[in-house]
Amino acid sequence: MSRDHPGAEPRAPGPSGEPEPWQAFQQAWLDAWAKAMHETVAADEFARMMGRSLDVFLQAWAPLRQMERVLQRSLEGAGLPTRADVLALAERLDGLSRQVEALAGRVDALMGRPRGAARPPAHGRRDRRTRAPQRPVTRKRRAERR
Amino acid sequence: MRSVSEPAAGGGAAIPSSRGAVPAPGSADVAALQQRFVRWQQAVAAAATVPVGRTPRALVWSRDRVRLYRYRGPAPPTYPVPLLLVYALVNKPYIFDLLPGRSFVEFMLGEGFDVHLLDWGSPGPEDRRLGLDDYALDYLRPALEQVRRQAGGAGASVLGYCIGGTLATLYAGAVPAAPIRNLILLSAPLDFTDRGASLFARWFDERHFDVDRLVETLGNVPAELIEVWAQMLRPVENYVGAYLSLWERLDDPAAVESWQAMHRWVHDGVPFAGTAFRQWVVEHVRENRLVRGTCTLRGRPVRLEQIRMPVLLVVAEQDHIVPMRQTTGIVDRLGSRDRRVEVVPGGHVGLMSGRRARREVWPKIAAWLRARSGRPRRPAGRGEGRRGWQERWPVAAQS
Repeated sequence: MSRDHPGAEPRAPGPSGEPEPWQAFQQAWLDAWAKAMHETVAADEFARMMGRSLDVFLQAWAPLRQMERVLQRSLEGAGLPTRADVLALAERLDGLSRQVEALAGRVDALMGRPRGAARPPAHGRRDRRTRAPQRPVTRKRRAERR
Repeated sequence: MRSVSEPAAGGGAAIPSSRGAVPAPGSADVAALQQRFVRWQQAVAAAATVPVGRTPRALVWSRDRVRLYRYRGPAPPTYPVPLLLVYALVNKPYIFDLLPGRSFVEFMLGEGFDVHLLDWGSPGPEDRRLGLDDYALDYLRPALEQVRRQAGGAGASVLGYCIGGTLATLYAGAVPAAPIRNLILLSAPLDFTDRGASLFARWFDERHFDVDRLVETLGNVPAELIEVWAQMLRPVENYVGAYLSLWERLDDPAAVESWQAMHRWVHDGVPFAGTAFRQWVVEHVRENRLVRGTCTLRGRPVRLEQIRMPVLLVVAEQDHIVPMRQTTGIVDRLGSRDRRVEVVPGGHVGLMSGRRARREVWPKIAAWLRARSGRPRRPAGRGEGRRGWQERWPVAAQS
């Protein structure tokens, strides 16, 4: 996991090349604070405290889960899709898109094309079956054709 | 830092130094200090919208939420072996392309490499069952295959950063025939023999941390939770030092933009897919399976000795997120004869974003890769000019 912030970068010294008194004081104060905090977060007690905090956080989710179950029963009763149904549908769609991808690969192989070579990604592709709607044949156009 | 009487760099009113004499109440300095505070607040607020990832790129492959992009440089690539960048699962990959002039992608394009990026996307609730196996075999493998085909060669170089490096290692160790020509691992957490060295390893200890309950309750691990953990690694630096740093650089627009881009990236995380997180904590952080030789990828054993391509390990001296030993610990177990460890100054993120990165880290990576990326092509001739190159490259939406 990689998160950090540029705040840790060393500060620029003053014009004389030496840190100004206030800068030096501030830096020393921050360094001391950071060192103390680092020792705190590295302690076993802090790890235990984090674990307990997580437990409390997850316990707070229990009523929400209960509410979710009630809502799910209500939706099922009303014949409406639940969150679980939508998730299952999303997973099924992912599976289908993979099947389509595999089939396209097989078609490429059968036609002797390098697999996937000339095929842009699915959502950037223009569907060739989609054509502009044909204009109705008017009397004028019929005359033009003749 | 300027003295109190010096004019502001932007030509505005005199701005007191944060370290100057304390102004008397009611003086003009107090008003200037207030103005500076407002500007500071505005700069923090504007960080969320600062444009990042500006190098032109084309979408070349996608599956589910995963996207593969190919970047367009000012000229055709010089080296025939393409480069695939793989980032961690919990952050957005624009750290590779933060800002013009501070972009690794831009740098490597300038060096003549054909740069691709694998973007894992942001997992939704339906992705909670994705494991590290799925990421390595269902996304990394076909993406790499796509990169290889696009370039028309026998393989590609893979650069994995952080957990992206772990995924690349898992794949390379499980599939000996993987089309990886060169493997570059930047601060990749691989060896957890010394669990005390990493705060994450201490916090995720089974005595305190119930990973099963977390994943069962939430599905995916929310980005906000990961952010809190990451910030707590260095709470003073992240919650105080970072903002003081902006205050001090407020008169330098380039420094402000750089701060904003980094701030945006730090707070722009993505959830960790539940199953992958559980695997990460149990199989890697706690059980250290990769080094112990008990790691499998969908039933295939992952063996470090099966990694025989040239390997470059880049570690940062002051890395507090992935201590150096977590990456370098595997070096003697690799099957590769051509392996090298580069220790560079700075921290974990500094490998890709710090001022030193462009000067000291990226040139080393480029030099190592140049020697292993095939014979360079001749520069484009008159008929194969830059315009022709750019016309052949349809550039998709930026992100």
